[in-house]
Amino acid sequence: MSVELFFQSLIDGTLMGGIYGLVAIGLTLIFGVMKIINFAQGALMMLGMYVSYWCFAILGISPYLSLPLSAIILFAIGMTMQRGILQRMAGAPDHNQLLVTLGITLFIENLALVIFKPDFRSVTVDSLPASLSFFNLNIHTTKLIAFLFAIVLAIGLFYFLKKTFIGKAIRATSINSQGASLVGVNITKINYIAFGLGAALAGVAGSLITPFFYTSPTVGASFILKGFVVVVLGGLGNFIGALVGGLLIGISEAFGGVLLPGSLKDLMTYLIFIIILLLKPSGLFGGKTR
Amino acid sequence: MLKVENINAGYGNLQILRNLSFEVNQGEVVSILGTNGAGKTTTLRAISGLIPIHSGTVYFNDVLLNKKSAEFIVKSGLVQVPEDRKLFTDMTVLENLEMGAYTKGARKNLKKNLEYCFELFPILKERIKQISGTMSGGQQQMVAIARALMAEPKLLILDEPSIGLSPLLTKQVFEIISEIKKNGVTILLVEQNVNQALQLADRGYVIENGEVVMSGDAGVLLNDENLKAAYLGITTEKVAL
Amino acid sequence: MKKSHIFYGIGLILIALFPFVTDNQYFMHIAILILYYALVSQAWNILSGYAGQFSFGHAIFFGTGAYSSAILLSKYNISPWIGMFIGAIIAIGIALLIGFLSFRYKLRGAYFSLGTLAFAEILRILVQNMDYFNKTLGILLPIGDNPWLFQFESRAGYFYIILILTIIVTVVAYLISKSRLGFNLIAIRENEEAAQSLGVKTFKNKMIAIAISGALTSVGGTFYAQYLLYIDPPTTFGNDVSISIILPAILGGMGTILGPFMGAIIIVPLGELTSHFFGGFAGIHLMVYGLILVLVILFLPEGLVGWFQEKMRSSRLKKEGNQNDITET
Repeated sequence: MSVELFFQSLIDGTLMGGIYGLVAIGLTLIFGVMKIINFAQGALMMLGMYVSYWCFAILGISPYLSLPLSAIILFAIGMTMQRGILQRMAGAPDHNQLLVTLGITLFIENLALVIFKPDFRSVTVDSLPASLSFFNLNIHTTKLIAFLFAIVLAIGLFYFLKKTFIGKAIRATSINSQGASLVGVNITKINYIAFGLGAALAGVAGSLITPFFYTSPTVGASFILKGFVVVVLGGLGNFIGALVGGLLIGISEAFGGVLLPGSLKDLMTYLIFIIILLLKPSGLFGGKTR
Repeated sequence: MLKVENINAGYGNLQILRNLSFEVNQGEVVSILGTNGAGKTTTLRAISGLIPIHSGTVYFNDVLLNKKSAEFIVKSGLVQVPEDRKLFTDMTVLENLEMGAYTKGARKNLKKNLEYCFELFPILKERIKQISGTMSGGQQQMVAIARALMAEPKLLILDEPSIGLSPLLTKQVFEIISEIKKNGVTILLVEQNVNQALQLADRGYVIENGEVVMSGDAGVLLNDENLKAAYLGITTEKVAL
Repeated sequence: MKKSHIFYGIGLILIALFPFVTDNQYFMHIAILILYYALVSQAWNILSGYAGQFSFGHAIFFGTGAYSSAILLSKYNISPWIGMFIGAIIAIGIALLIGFLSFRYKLRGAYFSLGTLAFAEILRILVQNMDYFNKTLGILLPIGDNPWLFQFESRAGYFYIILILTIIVTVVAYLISKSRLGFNLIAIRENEEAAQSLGVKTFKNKMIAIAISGALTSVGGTFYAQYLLYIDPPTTFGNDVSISIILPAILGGMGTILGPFMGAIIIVPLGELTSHFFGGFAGIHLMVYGLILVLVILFLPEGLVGWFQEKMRSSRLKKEGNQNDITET
């Protein structure tokens, strides 16, 4: 492999990894607070993509401007999911929670299929150059922007959790929810907010990738599996682990795509998943086990 | 201040508390005693809203607490230091204390209460940035008590504060509780260490099988022969010298 | 003979007479689908319902059965009857491999479920990228009327085959449930540590369960291949397949024998009806499946049969209680 190809893959992988990290952060936040494995995270991301797509197709608005709308709508959807359905599942066995979120995924994805049809749609951002050149390397502008957004959001979320009272309450709830109740935290409300946040992150990730990823009802499927791999890799409930894990998976996927033929690059991701599950299920950085 | 009347509670189909009644008046220290499994912790969980009460009433300053959420109960001024502490182990001492002041009222006086806690527990001031999960049992207990104090309790409930602590640390903890009492906080103390508890308390209740079987002034209980036999392991027979 | 056995016997005879009652090919098709879903779901039930090891990747066994017999037939002219047998053997091999890795490394609960998902996806990707399996083009099987080659002219033939296969799988599940193995599996499901401390060889029992489950699922896969006469990676190894395998058991009741059957009877016609009435909208029946899944887990997590059994149990206990009161006076 030439040096150029090496660095090109590294860059492509890192940029995409930021998105995986964003999806995984949402997943890990939800898991940390509510101990729920949200299978529907990919489907929520897909909905975010459609919000931005329709804003673009009907109103001509750039996805970077419709991003906040995507976040708000997905926040509301996430909160509704928690309040209406998942809240009742507190304390239910693992697999039942997975099944419910799986059922929700089936419902959302196929609802989208029925309403939006299976067509692949694309969003273009004409105001920007298609790519930047850097030492003979090609950097897609929209991927770069997505990456930067993702990093900024991750940092913002980090500070939110570290410095604000609500953020601390979220962390406290995820560490010891009864303890949090005993200092006056409204656990029910915190759960709504946490799920809403997790969903909003998925929605934002969706909006960010619309310029370089086709929007379609089934797009969530590959992201959710990768999301799980990242979350397990980084450690369930581990925020920084999710981000780093995302980058690692993005990079290994990029290298896999270069080294392996056809659609075998996904194979890399799943093999890594199996290996981590078997050897270090608590993740590279440790996290909560169930 | 706190009036518990005929409460019945338990876990699922298992009933633990049977028509339990007791009360705590303002400014008092009341102790609830009993062996393991008598229902002491269950009582505290029920009062703090962690488990539901099937029947009976709990009044706190004339407000009915029965169906209220745990957060509401804390906001009303009834704060508990649970038996297993329930600390936010991944968070620092400071963060734990800050979380103690989560309710709006307590947040206003956060700085002032923080100072007060550091006076009571100087060691916490030293280790303010330490992750609470890495502290020793005794230190964690101090964090737990301090955290509860940050919530500006009108009635402070302590569930077995001396559990797992060495005699020296136990003495320290009880000295601190004594300090807190002097500062005008009403205290409900659940303890297995009968001696220490009754020396500190004004009145006491003895629970067995989820019911109150004995009650009275602390001094009287401390000298009660039956109590001594059952819980202190001291017999009434004089040993021949 | 117990009352229920007579009941089942009559039911079975009625079902067997079905092709004589109607020769509407569409109804036959539905009946075949119901039976075949009941079969694979029952096979899954053995591992996940009884042993409590929740597999989200059972498509791996299904696809193995389908591709084994299809390859053997199309490339080597070997009868699918033999292919079915060989497919089951290969499925057992795969099951033992997955089982060994998962159970040896103590994958439990959600970790196990996601792990099986990953395994299924890995096999799908491999098959999809290998010329030997015709990659994404899939395999087209020859139509014919030679029963020795698992080919039947009318649907009735397929109906009887799937009926017999489903009965066999149900009987196997039933025998397991009443045997020492079944007892062990349930103990493992309820509390694996406790079972182990009581002397149950948890690893061995789980391996047996996954092997049987995998083998029987692959039989279903072979039938599917021969019935539809076309297979490709997504329709045999895909996630949708795994989901449709578990749905009947969940609706009907995991850990019960009748559950998968009840679930299939409801889900298949429901799916067909929705597709029929809303034919213009692809995927609407999956929406309904998703909704059912959520509702069942929320309100009836033990499934229809499970719920019914609970009702029977509690009313019987009440009756016994009353009888005791009477004898006491």
